[in-house]
Amino acid sequence: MGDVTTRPSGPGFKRVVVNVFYEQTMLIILILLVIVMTIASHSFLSLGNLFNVVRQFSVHGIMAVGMTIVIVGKGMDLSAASILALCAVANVLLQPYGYLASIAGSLAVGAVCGLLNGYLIARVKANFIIVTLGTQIIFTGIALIITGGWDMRSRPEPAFHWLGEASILGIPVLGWCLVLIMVVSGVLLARSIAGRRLYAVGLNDRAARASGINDVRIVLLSYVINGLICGAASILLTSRLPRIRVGTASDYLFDVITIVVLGGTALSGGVGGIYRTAIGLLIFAIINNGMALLHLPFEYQQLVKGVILILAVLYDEFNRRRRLG
Amino acid sequence: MKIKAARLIADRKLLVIIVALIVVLSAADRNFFTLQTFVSLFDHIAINGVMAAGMTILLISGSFDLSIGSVMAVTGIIIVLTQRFGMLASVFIGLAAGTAVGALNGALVVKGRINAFIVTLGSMIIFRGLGLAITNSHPVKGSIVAFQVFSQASPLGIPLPVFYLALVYAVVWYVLRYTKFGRNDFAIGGNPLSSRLAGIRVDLYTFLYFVACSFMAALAGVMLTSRVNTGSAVFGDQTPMLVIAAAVLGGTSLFGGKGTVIGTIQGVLILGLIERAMVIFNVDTNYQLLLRGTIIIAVIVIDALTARRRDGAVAAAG
Repeated sequence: MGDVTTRPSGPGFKRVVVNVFYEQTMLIILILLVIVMTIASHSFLSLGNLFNVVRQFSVHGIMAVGMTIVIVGKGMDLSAASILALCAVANVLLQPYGYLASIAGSLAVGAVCGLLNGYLIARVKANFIIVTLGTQIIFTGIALIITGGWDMRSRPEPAFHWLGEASILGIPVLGWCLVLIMVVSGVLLARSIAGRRLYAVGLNDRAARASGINDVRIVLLSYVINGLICGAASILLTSRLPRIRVGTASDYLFDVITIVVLGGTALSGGVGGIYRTAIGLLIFAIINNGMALLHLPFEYQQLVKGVILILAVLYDEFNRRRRLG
Repeated sequence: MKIKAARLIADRKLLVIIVALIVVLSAADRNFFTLQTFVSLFDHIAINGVMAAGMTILLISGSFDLSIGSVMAVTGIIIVLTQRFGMLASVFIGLAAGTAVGALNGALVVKGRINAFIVTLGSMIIFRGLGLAITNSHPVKGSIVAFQVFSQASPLGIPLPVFYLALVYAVVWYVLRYTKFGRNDFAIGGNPLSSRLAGIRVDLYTFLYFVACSFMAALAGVMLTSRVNTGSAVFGDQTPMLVIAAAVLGGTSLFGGKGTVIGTIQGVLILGLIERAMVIFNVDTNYQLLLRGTIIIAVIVIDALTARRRDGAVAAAG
């Protein structure tokens, strides 16, 4: 187009600053939050509090990884929390047969649940929202049938006790698990062929199909992986909590969606990643921790979470328009 | 003759299912096949039925609303809390507040260009949270006894909610069939872009469909509150799914552009009969949940498969 020599060799300084600001809005908010919380509460920066936060939100973080993968493929899984509950029930039921059996059981149940979602969405081409809302009721129903509606007691298996309570190099094992899953899936999503294909399908499924990508298989795979990750999260959940209650698992769902959207993974698909979700998780965890430290009543905490979700969605929409120019 | 009979049955699938369910239930329960049973059945499905009529309007235009359960609950809470201003005033305030949620949803979808699912999921959570916050998570009890007459009186032996149900369906049927409001609904759901090119004010009408859907949910909130004389933020958490399933069962497509309230009321009736069957056969509540979820999934899968076949036929013809 224009003459190369008369054009500036790169974008102007102001442009760069503005772009960095938009791209890293959430990182900036995170840093501000940390500063504010450090000033507002003496106990915030204590190691005890921080490890508490890690323990409390490791399950959220792992589930957010799975949700990110599904959302990148232009989907969503509203049954994720129910899969978590069902996997946790399987885990507790299989504990008498040793910890390996119960881990395998959780992962297998998660994969099967994900496969059902993926099949109905990718192959049958049913609406993903209605499908996962329906399977949510089914998975919860199965979990309630198995437990008879009662709380389940997790047995004090040494391996799980270690997972839930121990620390390596001073950091809780739960935190290590979270970091491990985030790094592995983050690299796979961003660098592997299947990961790149998922982005392509999320951005434009017709174009992806036209360029030879088997979009049905990729989307199916994303739901199966999400199921597996929910299974992994359930192992941490059962090792952290001695009692499993099916009904309370549903609280995870909206928290997880909020975390993913807050990080900047677009609900319209094809944009985002695990790094962003990690930032979303930190912001969400700090806000929740802050509300607890400030002794806000439970109902208001729920309301604040709802407002955060709405703000996150508006932020998502703002980003989408900015990308479209 | 044989083909004609087969066609007749195929066109009346829902009626066949309804008759089959009634036959099975009559065989299982000696006391089932009475006028009283059917009256109470319609009395029970009235609340979901009213919401399903509103949802049908919205589904035809290609959108849907997940917040109707919260709207119903919040409407009830507001009615109970404002009863000190008088009964009619409280009903009016409740209806206005519930309808306002639809206006908010519609505005965000139309002006904000945000996905209807995200908007209504957000308002579902936020208004339930609001309901929990203003009631401190406890149900609130109504103080006006006369208000209960709205749901509990039965002139001519037929409960008032059945009259409301009939009235709502008559109005919606007429509106969808004979007014601009209704014809634009089908046009927008069929193809929003060509509707806009044809001069239909797509944004305005989409907004109105959201408002209509919320108004029906608020109306259901009035009916529910006067029936139980209580407002609670936990009412209606599975309502959106059941109502959407009823409409889709009745032939309204999630892909827009297709649907009738005649089908919807049959869908509502089938789900109501299944609920009744689960009571008669003494199905455990947890199994009821599983069964409900399975029915919803089955309905959605059938909708997706028929939509695909239709698209395939269109592609082949074109």
